[in-house]
Amino acid sequence: MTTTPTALQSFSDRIWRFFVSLKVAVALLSLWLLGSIAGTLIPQNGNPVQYVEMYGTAWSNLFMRLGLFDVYHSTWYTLILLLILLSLLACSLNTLESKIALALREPKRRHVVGTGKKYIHYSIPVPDEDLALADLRRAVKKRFGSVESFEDGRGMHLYAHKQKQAHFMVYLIHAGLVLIILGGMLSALFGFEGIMEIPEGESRDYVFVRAGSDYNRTPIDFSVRCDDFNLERFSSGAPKDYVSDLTVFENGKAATSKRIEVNDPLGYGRFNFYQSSYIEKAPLEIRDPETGKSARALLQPGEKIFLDEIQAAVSLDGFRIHSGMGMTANLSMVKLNGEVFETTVFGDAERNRTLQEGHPLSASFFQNEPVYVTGLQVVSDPGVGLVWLGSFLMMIGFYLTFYTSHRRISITLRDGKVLLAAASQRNPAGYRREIENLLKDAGFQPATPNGEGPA
Amino acid sequence: MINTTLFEFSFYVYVLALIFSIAVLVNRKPVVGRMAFGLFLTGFALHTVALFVRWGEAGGVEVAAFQEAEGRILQGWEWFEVWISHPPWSNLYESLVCFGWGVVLVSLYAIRKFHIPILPVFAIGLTLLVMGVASLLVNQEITPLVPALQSKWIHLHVTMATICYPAFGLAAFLGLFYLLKTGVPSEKFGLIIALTAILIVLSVGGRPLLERGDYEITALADHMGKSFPVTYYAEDAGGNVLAKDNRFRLPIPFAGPALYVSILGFLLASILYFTGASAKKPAMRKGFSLSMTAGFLGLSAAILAVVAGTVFSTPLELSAEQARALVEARHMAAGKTLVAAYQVHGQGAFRLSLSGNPFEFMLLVTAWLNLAFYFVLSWKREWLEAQLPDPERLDELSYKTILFAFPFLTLLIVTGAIWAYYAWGRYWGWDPKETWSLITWIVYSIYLHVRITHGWEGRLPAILATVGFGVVIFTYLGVNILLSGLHSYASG
Repeated sequence: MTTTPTALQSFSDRIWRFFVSLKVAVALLSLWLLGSIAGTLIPQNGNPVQYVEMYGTAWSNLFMRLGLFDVYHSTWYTLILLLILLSLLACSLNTLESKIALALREPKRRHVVGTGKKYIHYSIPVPDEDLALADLRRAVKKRFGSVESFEDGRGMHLYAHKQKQAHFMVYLIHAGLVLIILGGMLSALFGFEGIMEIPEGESRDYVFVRAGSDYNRTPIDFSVRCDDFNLERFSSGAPKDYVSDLTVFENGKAATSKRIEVNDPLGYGRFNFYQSSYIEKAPLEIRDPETGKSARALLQPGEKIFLDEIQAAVSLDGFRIHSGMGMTANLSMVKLNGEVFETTVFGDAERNRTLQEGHPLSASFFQNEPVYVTGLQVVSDPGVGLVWLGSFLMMIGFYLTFYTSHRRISITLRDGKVLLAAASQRNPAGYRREIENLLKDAGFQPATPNGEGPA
Repeated sequence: MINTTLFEFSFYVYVLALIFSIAVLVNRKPVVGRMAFGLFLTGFALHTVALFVRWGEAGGVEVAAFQEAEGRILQGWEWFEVWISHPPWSNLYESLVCFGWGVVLVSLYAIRKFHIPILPVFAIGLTLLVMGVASLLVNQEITPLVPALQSKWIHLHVTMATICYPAFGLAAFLGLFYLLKTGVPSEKFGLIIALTAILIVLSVGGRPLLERGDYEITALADHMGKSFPVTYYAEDAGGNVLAKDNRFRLPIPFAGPALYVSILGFLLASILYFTGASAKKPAMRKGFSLSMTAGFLGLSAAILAVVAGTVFSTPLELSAEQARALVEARHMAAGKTLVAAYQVHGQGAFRLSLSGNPFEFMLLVTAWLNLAFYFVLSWKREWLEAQLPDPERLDELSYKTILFAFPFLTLLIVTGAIWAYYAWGRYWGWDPKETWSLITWIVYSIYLHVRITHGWEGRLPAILATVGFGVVIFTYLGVNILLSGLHSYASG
């Protein structure tokens, strides 16, 4: 009968001891370090072909199985983080008890007892004990707010302490960290991240979501229109700024609109839309001189399309925009009848005509500037609020932990001597200066600390 | 540009300050000490002026770019906003001169407050390394800010880095002093320095050193008044890209063999240490210091060869065909046939310059300085220890410095996260820089827990403080040079 609870107890006890153990915490952190470093050395979420080239088939299979190509989202990595979280919570709870003892119970003894770096002791002879007691009482009260005085067989005593809450401020830091980890988990589990590409003047109601090295098309229940896209360039050709005017439509009605740019997103519902990139597409018109039919296509370099109207595949090999001098595009085309040929398209119609004389298909630009497609990062992140809150708590916690300190003082008058003992949780040197000033206030000329405190 | 001249000028003032701060250790006259501090302060003043001048010059560039893009003239408040929008911390050069400035700021405070006579030597040494590598960079130009850097969070982010990185450096020096003062044997320092030197020489020398016994550095070529590293792009007969944007490197005479000598010396020293450490025989000690000397001489010769081979090298007049022939010869030697080798940059004369590989050169210099420290240590151990305060004080100062820097490191990461959130829509993406910053944070939080919760004092925290700064430097520079990521000064 009695064995079961003991076994259970010892089991839970063992788990508890596992999580509060320093060795386990260090081991977990070391594992975490190794995993994280591996993730920075091996390119993440890359192309399988590229991995085989880099590491060979056998190694890349092994790495793949171990999740080393997506370390930060692998099960083992999440597990380590979870264990670290538990260890953090357990260790915090474990030290809580001793802190409560220090902050609440120990002061009840009303004597500061101990030797060591954080203890300060004075022993000063006084001619008049009662006068000294009154002076000291006043000085202590001024600095500590309140002071207890009592008398027993061993003499007259004063006791005061302040900032006992300093013992608990470190939990603000830990609570902040726990919030950050929880926020991170919320983001990872319920967050949504996708890419949206909207040509200027058009709207889209789907996003592309990353799955490994591919993207899946995922519908959303509203649509976003890119009313306008503007690109400003430096004279070197590098982009200076790019902005998109976006309007969100829900149930056919315009819900909100905003001009967004890099570092300044649009928020709608739980989604944020970030300006992340842009694509310049060549506005191509291909004509078949025999049938007189023509077709339009928007292509970016490397893109290929089959056009039904003219029964031909067109791929754009190169596309350049010359500042103030129009555009050029290099095309290769394959007709269904097997004819293959390459051509260059200029902005100048006359030049195109002479260059493409006798070609089975003729190509031109249908407008004088490229069609811009705005590239948006679509994000829904339910954890971000918690992360900011946690960060804020942590910073407050740092301030309060490092700059407040539980300070105690006890003074005993006995045999014509003042026996002073004081202790500070942190920064004993600073506290020593404070005690010296306190003694000066009380009319003493403090010598260097010495002697034994009151027992 | 005036600012780069000013930065160089402050560099020379720092060199003078270093000379005086070494002199004061030897002759102990207070006036020399005051001179050293005064010079350090003067260098700092120049450095500060240079930063502001660069800020103003960058403002001019931003205003011009803005006016050109918008086609109108800026005036009044609008002009002022654009003019101050580009503080000097948006590329590698600017980041390094800022870091150097932070190092001097923190050092001046520490020298004033801590009264450790050998601290100025270490602090100015670190400053010179940082400013030296900055001055060697090819790209010191001011270019207009790219869109991702046009955020107010960058300012907070960089300020935090400028405060906390140098503070961690200071804590590392104090930790090192602690180990020195508490009697860690000089041979142990020597061993670690020798192993680090081997690692540095091997990583700097790379495959050419191992395969051909040559130490090669990147050739530079001038194009339209600017220097570019010569790069090439090569394909084999199957159309596979063999080398894309690869840097074209040429051997420095004598440097390779000298580096071999240094590796052998350090290897021998390490072997002697491991085999004879327990015996502590005088013969082992003698052999150890002789091997270290051999290694040191080898390394010194290599550095001299590099300096001589670059400073006095005549530009190589290579035509595109000759350069191509050189690349082809390389690939043939490696058993590959090459059908095309296109030069991407670099026409005309190829020249060898220290600016070809600033970080590699600085790593060699760092290894050399470490060794110089070892020799001073092994000859003048007692004298060095006498320059240092009590170990308890060193321990406490190191701890307090880390305590001071840690919240700033946290803010550095948090402001980075906020910036990333506005720029890319996520506050954390496990980018190598982000991951390494977290690793740094964990290392220092381990330090703090070891101290506060478990009350460990002394060697372990001192070692952690020293190693921690290594991690900081890797996060700051190593990640950008060795791993790919989002931080813009990566390309340097």
